[in-house]
Amino acid sequence: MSDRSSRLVLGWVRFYTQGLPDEAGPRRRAEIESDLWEQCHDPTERAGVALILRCARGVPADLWWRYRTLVMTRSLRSSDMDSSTSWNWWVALTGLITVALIVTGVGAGIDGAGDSAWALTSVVGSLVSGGLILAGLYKRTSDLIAGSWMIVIGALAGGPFGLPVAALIVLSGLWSGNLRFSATTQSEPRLVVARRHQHALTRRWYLWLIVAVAVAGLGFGALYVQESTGFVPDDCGEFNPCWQDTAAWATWALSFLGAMVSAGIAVVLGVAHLFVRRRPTYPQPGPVTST
Amino acid sequence: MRRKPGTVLALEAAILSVLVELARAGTGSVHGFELAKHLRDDEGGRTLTAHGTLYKALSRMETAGWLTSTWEDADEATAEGRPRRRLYSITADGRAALARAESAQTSVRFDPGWSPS
Repeated sequence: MSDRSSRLVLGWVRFYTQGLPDEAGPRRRAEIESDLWEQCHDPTERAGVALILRCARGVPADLWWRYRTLVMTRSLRSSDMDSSTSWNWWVALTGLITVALIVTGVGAGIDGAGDSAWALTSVVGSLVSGGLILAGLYKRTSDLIAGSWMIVIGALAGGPFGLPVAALIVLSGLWSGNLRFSATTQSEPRLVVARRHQHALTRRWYLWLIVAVAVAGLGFGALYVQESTGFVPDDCGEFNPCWQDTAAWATWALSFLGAMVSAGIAVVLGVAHLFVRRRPTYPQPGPVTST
Repeated sequence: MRRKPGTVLALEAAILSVLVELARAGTGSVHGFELAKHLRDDEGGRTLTAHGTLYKALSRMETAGWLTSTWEDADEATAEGRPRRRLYSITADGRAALARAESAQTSVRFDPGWSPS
């Protein structure tokens, strides 16, 4: 039982430390691993469920620590490498979601033109909400805090129907450390931003590109197979729904999403390679403590 | 809410206090799990401080210069067949922070000025 509990706790630690800088993530994982070992091998201590409960009580602190660590890393990169607000998966995701939000809102407004009040609300609401988010994405390149607030307000302005979108944008922004709502202080950890971390960021982009292309390829392949085998019966329709129709629709959506994400990442990588300024020197790794 | 610089939280004061006690007893440095056990015993509680709470506090205190930490010798850990421990010890700044916290606590405590004996 204690083995399984340890694995569970370590899985959680690996999850919330992913993407953290070289100094912070591996150190936290090693410390927890040591702590778990000590608790499991201490005859006076309980393991098993006690381990999981101990871990669960610290989840809010874990998430907050992750967020502050990422924010500080980006802050350092901002001053040292001028790339804290560089393009990354969250920016691409937020941009795509926002464009989809605007297109859906305007489209729904045009479709529902019979009800002029609803149509106007839909069009204006989606334009204001999406416009604020896009403006916030632009603003954060010069002012990260003001841009973050604009994005959150824009996301919330989507109203009740936009709440899932707002939640997705804000939670993923916090998870990736892309949103910042106040200035950082000197009392935060001094994290090492080494050259290898910069390279790791680019490598991660290529990895995501490969994954997205694979998803799109699989999706389109499945669509081709479905079409050539007559997977969806002819009598499927509004009054005769069948699961094959839903499966075909889901496959199409997956293919489309994979293709769009691939295209987005390819554009980001292209722009990055063309325009990102290359600096000859990087900050040297220093001590983590300020003693 | 952001706290004022130099403020010592209850958990931080407890950690510093444990480290001072252990230093007096001749233990210069201690690892996280041992620290969690001492904290629980000192408070008379039943549960160990959560991983996230403990290591977040330790990281913050290290950044503030109240603690230093090092990885123990890898050979020692290998010989005992366990993962390496991260060992924490208190600094002069840490002792000063604890003294400040204790004096602040004393100054707000009600003092009637006489004893019943």
